[in-house]
Amino acid sequence: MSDLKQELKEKIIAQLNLEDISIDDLQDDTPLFGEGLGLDSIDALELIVLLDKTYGIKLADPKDGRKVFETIQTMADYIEANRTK
Amino acid sequence: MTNKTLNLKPHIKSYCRITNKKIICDGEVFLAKNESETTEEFFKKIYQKLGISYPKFHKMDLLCKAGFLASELIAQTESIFETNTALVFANKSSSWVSDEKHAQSIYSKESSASPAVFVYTLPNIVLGEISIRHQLLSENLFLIFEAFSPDIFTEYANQILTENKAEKVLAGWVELTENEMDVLVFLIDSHGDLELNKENVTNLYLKK
Amino acid sequence: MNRKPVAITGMGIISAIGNNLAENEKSLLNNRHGIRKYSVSNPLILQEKWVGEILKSNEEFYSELNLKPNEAYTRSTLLALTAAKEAVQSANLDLNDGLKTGFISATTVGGMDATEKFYFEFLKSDENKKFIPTQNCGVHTEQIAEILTIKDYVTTISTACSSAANAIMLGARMIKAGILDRAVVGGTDSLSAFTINGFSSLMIYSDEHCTPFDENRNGLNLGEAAAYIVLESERSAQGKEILGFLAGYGNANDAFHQTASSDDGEGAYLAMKAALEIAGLKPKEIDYVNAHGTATPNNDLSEGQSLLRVFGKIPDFSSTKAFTGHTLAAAGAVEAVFSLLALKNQTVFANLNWKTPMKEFDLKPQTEIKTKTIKTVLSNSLGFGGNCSTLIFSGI
Repeated sequence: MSDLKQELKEKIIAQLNLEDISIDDLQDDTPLFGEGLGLDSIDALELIVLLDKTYGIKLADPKDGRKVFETIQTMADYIEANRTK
Repeated sequence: MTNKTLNLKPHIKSYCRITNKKIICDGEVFLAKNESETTEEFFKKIYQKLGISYPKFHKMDLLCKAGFLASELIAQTESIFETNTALVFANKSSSWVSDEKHAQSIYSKESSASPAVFVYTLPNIVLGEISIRHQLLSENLFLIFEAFSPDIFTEYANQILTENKAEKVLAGWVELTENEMDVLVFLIDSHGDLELNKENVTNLYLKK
Repeated sequence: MNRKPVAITGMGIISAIGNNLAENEKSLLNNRHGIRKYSVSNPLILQEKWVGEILKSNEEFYSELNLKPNEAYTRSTLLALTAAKEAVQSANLDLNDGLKTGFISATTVGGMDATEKFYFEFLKSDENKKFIPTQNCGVHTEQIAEILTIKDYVTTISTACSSAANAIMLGARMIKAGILDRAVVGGTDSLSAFTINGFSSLMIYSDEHCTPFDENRNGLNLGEAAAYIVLESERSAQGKEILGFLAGYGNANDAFHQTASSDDGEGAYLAMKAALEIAGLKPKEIDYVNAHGTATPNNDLSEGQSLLRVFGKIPDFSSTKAFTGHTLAAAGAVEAVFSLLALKNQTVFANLNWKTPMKEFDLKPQTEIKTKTIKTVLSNSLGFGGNCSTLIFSGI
């Protein structure tokens, strides 16, 4: 699980162009949206693409993303439970 | 009746020029580009030298970064925040850099479009980025021309300012392709040092 | 400042609901939409999509427009030429009478449709290399200006979904400033994998026929179209049949997000206020609003909010995008033509597919076609990049 979380942190920083953030800044429970990292709706869509391409999980409704993408921890939990790759 | 419009003579208050070699603001070189640097690296250095904190910058494509940085430099001395500043920008290649990236991702075997790339496949997004940064709710227009010409900028600015539709105009030629940075952004106001006319605009463009 | 409305003396259109003005008019009056599953089998488009397709091949257009087969005209150009020709003919323009004429055209797709078709071949064979230069947005404008023999002012606008509305606005301003006597203005966009896949990646492409302003809306359908109107100065329009007037126009930036609209629809609100001011009209004097109404969750909510802010009690309004699909850069001109048809027929066109009001406010679009006195029509075109435009048309 901790490998997956590390992997997620690296991928998110790269995929979302979070240049000013280092892996150490990204805690498991840092809120990704809103006050935390300040990601926006396009970032959410990119995370949906990431879920599909890397872990084989298709999220049909962007609104479902809200709960899944709350923190690194919630993302990792969801991926563990649903990954097909 | 005020004679504001009768006495109006639009002037260029400030300008920023980006070419393959450097970025200049009001006659001074802000940063020179190393030959080995990519456009991406060069823009990052300008961002860092500006000393601002605007994480959204890193998500922008090169066209938006160019327009953003040029406007930012101008705004350091001539603040445009929350002003009635109309935007009129133009180029030849539209949003070519992002268009190509998006097209490639669709043509690839995996055929997967990236929303973050698609967002930038319109040339006027740069106007959106500048408007968001400086909270400009004013008029904005993006045109496509074969080559740079001062005409649209001078005519449009004269019209807008004379009609009091805006207090200032931020004009920009932002031509960016894989190998070429050809950017001139300038701020027009009702007063200033350099009169707004085709000759003066062309001279700014020709300064390399 | 010259506040006099600019006369409109001609129009032309081709869309999923008709190959010319008369066909479009008939379809609107008969609630006949043009949204179907895409008939073109394009390997780049992964799923079947509901689109507003024009059921005519490029070859048919070449033949109808008498174009040489060895010359490169992309689909966007073919649609544009069809509509622009109709507009020029309907205005009885004599392009040799010495009056200054402009052609201002809008597009976002440009020649992308041809690039997609021929990209992989370019390095292998010479056959379609002539399409390489046609990719650029400005090329279609120049090609058409040359065919129509319009020389005095030719330019291209590309501001996403508000492009054609901005072309109309720029044309009107140039006439008011005395730079032009008349202008053929509008826009074009054809369907392409580029845009279909792009909008799909934003998860705003519906997998059904779109439902504007409905609580359960889930996205747009794209469409292809071209439309142009002919604007003329008072002097130039003398003695001609006038179809209507461009009474007002406005443009503002929402300054919120690259592709989403703000919660309170500030950009649209400001554009509508500016247009009303130029027209010298109060909100209650607008008889019909042809909304942008793309049926995305975000647009309809934001635009609904902006309409409430401007009007309080919103006049009869509808989105015609369930007829034609969202025609992107052409939308502002397509809907300008529809606004003029509304004035001609004294009819509000239907907002198709509506069942459930949005939970956020008590907004019911005009779901049935309705005849009434219409003197003014307000049309919104809200583009990505926060570019919001409004046009107001008035009858004669």
